[in-house]
Amino acid sequence: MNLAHGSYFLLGGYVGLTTAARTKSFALALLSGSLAVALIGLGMERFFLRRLTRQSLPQVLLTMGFALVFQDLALLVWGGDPYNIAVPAFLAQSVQAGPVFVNFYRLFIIGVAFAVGVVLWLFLERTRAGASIRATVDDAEMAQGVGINVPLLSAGVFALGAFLAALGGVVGAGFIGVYPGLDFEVLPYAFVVVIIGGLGSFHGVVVGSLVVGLLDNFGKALFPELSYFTLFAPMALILALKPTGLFGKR
Amino acid sequence: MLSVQDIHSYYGDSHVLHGVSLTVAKGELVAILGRNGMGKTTLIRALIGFTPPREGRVVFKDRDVTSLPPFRAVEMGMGLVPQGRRIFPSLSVLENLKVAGNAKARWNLDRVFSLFPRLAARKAHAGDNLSGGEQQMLAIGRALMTNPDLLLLDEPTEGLAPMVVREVAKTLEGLRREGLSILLVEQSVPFATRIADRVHVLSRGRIVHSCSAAELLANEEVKSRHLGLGS
Repeated sequence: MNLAHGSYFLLGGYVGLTTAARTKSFALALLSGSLAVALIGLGMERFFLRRLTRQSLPQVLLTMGFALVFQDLALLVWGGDPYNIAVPAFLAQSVQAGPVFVNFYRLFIIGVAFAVGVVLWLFLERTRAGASIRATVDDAEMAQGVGINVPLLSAGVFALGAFLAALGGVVGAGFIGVYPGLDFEVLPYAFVVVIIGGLGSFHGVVVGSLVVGLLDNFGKALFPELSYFTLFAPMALILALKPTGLFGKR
Repeated sequence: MLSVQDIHSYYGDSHVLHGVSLTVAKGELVAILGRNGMGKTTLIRALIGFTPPREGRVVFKDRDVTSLPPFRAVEMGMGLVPQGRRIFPSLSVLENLKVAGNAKARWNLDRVFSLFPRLAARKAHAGDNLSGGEQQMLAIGRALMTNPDLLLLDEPTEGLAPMVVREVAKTLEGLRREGLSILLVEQSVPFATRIADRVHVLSRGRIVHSCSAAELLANEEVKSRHLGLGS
């Protein structure tokens, strides 16, 4: 349970922003933002969260504290103005397809999301490291009992999560921008996706994120006065009918 | 191989093991017998490091492993076949074996599959989609994949049909002939006395009797008092 996950998104965006401004390279922005935040995640896991294994409430309190610290640090370093990362020229153009204009950058975002999803799936389902992760999710104690270095694996998975959140932050900074408060704007989405999809399930995340993305956008466009309702009502419904989420086992 | 020196284990405030000591020599098969709730599983959990003992020492291959994390103990050559088998349900049979494998391949997939041909036939099955006997074979195969020098087994006959129990017994006898040391925790006196060299009887967290397997079979008093076998 990590309430600082939105902060990783925000920090990734800001680090990417600074890199892009200094180097004029979007690729370097993606890389530096993700890697810097992965390191932060690694440090948080190693020195703080490792002591709180399987203690949800202390985890919530600790990561909430981190989220507040990151929020203020970001304000101190990058100030209160909203920024957009300059995206490469070929991604900034649009093309007209019949009655609609399609922005290349939106297609790029969909492409990145798809690619990350496929690579993650292959990693989890087709590699020995992926099988070790699934074994640890099934039964962490027994995973140690067959020789899996669970502390190392947990740190790696946590850093990977931070890496991906920050990657999303840099990509998002070229689209929705990066600004104070963004961290706590994206956090509920991540939670609703996991709650709808089910804890510990990759398929759940894929389905959950599609459901949340579509509901939220169509909800805001069609019934703007209901906005958050179209997001949280389905979540409440699923929690009532299937408390473990669509694909969760626990 | 293994020397357990006066270990005391607790679950919370409840004192479960009261100073247990025992040894397992290389190539020896030692059984701990006892009824439910006498501390058998606690003993295995203390040895592998799931619940390290609060006092006493566990020495494995001349090294103190008392407070070593479980995966280190496994790396050093302790293999675990846990109570209830604890097969990873999200993994296929093949993956259950592979995650336990390491580079020092004295044991590999081919050897495990030739020992348990039924697992080879089901290697694509999900781990939770097996019969009890197949799960037990997979649990033993998985432990062998870690290349153990000492195999810890916690009630391997629990819930198995008599025919499967005989198969497990034959497998363990075969492994012991190859030089593997085995520490077995059991409720079933016939199973344990058939394959063990020596037996210890565990009652309320203490070893109350130690003898050879044959001597235990002849000792009606110990059997009825501590193992609930009246004659």
